[in-house]
Amino acid sequence: MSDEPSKNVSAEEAPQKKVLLPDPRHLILSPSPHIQVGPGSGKIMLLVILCLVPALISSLLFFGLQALRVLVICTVSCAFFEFLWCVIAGRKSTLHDFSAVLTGILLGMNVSSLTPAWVCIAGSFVAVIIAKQVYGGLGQNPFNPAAVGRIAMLIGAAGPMTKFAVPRAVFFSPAADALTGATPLGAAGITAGMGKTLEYFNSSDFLWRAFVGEIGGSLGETSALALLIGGIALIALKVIRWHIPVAILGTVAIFVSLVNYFSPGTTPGVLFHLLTGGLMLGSFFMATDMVTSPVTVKGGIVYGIGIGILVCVIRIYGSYPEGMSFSIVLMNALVPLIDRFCYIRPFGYQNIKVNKIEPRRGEIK
Amino acid sequence: MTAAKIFRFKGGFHPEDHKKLSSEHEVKTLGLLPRYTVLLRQNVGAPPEVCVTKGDHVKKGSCIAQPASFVSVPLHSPVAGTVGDLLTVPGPNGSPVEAVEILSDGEDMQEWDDRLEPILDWRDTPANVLKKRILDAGITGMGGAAFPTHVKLSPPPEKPVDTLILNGAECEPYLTSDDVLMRSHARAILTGAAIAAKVLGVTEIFVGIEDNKKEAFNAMEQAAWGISSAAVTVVPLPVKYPQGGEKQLIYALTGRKVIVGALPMDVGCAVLNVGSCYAIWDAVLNGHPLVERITTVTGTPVVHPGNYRILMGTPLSAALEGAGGIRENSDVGKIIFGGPMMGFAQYSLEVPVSKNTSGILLLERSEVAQFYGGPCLSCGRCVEHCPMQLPVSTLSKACESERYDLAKENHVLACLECGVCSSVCPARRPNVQHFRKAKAELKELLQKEKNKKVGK
Repeated sequence: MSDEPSKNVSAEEAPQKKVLLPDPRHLILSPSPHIQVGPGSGKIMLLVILCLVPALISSLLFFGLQALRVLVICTVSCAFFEFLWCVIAGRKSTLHDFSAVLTGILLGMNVSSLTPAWVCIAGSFVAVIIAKQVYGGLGQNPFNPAAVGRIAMLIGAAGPMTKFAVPRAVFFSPAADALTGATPLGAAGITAGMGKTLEYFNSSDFLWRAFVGEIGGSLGETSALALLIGGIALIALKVIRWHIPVAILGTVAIFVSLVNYFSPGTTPGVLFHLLTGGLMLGSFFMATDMVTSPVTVKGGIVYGIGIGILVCVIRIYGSYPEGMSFSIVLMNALVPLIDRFCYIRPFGYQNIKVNKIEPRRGEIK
Repeated sequence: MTAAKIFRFKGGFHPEDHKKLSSEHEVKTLGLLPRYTVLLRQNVGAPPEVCVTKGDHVKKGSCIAQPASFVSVPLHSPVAGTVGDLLTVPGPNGSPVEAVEILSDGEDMQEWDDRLEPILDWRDTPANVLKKRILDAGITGMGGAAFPTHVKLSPPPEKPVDTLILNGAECEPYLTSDDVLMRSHARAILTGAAIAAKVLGVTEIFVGIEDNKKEAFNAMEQAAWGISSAAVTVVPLPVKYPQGGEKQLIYALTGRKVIVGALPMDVGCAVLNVGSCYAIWDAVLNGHPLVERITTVTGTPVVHPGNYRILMGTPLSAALEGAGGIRENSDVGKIIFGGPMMGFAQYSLEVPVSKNTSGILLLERSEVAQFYGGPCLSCGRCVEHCPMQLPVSTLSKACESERYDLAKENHVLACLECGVCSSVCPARRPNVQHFRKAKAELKELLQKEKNKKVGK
């Protein structure tokens, strides 16, 4: 589209060649700033999805078409519920911000490839409608939708949710023992105290398996390698800050080392805990969800440490073998409080006490 | 000179600066026009009172309006000619304002009014004479706010000023007028600064220049030697918007923090733009009042982007014509007076250039930011980049739901309106606009409370 020369202001003394001037009637009139940088909300969600691709590929590699089935059902039903809510609430469709699609993919990655379709659909309903839209949609939800969806599925359909497929043997020969059918974390929980099994879990053979992802578990959680690639890409693309994942992983490492030091034989080693279960997926992709994590860097570190401690406590002492989604949701509940106490001091307020908590005064008007 | 310690302020960002567009070209002078509309109110404070009547003959630099109060400056005619009507023209801030029309008379348009004598021996001239000259020449801050310079140079006795800071940061993208001025007139700028230092009686002059202007930095450093009795230090600053913000600049150079609501003089500093220093030099040594400035006319749609010497009162259309107009296949979405971060969008081509028009920027429609105000993701980018370290996301949500009491508790009044938080927001929230509204509401509220107290 080219602007026609609207007028030539000083035509009487015009220079030889014609000078084009913009048409003031077509100008945009809005206050500063006039430029913007960085990706928009939708693009950020797309980048997160892009960084999940290595983990998606690994899940297809190890769990085959069953994994694809679960992922498609979760993604489509999440998108559908989002759309349905928008229609019922009489709002413009919010599908274009890709947050529902991302929730769907994360939810799919959080469950076993053997999960029945109805459980997936019910989980999607909880994730999108109950955990997100009821609060007012994107940006308003206090809890991570995918984590809430997964918890609902885990508690509501405990039977189907704890059946795990045996991963296809891609890189290693099939494991001889019967443990592959369950998640290593589950097995470690049951067999804790039996020195022999712990030895197996700390062996380099098993740890390599866990690193590559050839172990039982939820379909997107197993390959620590793929998740690390995606997580580092997320940090490199500046979609997330490194503080939260590092705080979580660091806390888990320290906590497990301490437990191993003071009461050896209670639980497998640090590497086992870092590489198995939902820890990688949770710390890079779910705990870092912007809406439900603290705003400041300082707050992010506190939040990460909290998640790390909770995960270890649930894994080692709790009755559930895995506690990533529980820890994330629990810490989500504390985010407003963390935000309140981890405030940065405004520039030039060194000696002035800021952000003191006062009883809420009445509205101005 | 030992390298000065630089204090990095937290936050800020560096958008693509597009400075190459205009900085590579020589400064050109615009041709004379038959008619100028000189805005009456070009300064912060009271607008000056017109002291000429229609039909009066004026020379270039003749006084056409007298200061109305202490915080006010006189106004001068940009060309020789006849005084026309007192008009109402579209102003640079969006509202119509009063302007004096000057119809130039052709041949002797360039003849200067010689009422202001050059003061060549300024080193031996008393400070109050120099200050009077700065006032008489109508000098204001030429970076943005147009605060009268003589007021800045008159700190009250209880707030002694010991440091003069020259702002050559020019952190706004696209703008290069200060850059070219420092490259070509370093000596004049520093002489102006030395005069200001003499008026203030300070012993320390800092010149802050962003690190991406190497040539300007070298020129200034070379010229700095022995120019003033005060110690002159030229300091390269990190390239980061808003490095040229008054508070950020003072902190970067001295480590002093201006608390919210205070002025630079509270921490013993006075900040002058390099353009204002050049104007001081011109006023004192040549006896020329401020009627002309270097303005960047730039943007991708402009045929010949560059820096131009433009007389005050030149309409925007004429300035654009001087820069060759716009390209044939361009779709101009916005015309901005000032930079893209803090400038004002214009709706008319009749807006005249005034003392603080540091740039005229044209943006393609596709380059213009659209803030549609999506839901806040609490991603923390705004908080991370806020140069004042405010809880922007909380504030923005509070303002959106008209909880101005919460906004006040979270220090909305400290906001600089630098625009960084809006620029980086993934949800494209108009944060700055929210804060402007909150500030206005809080001001009104304060006024109401005051009135109530008086009533009792």
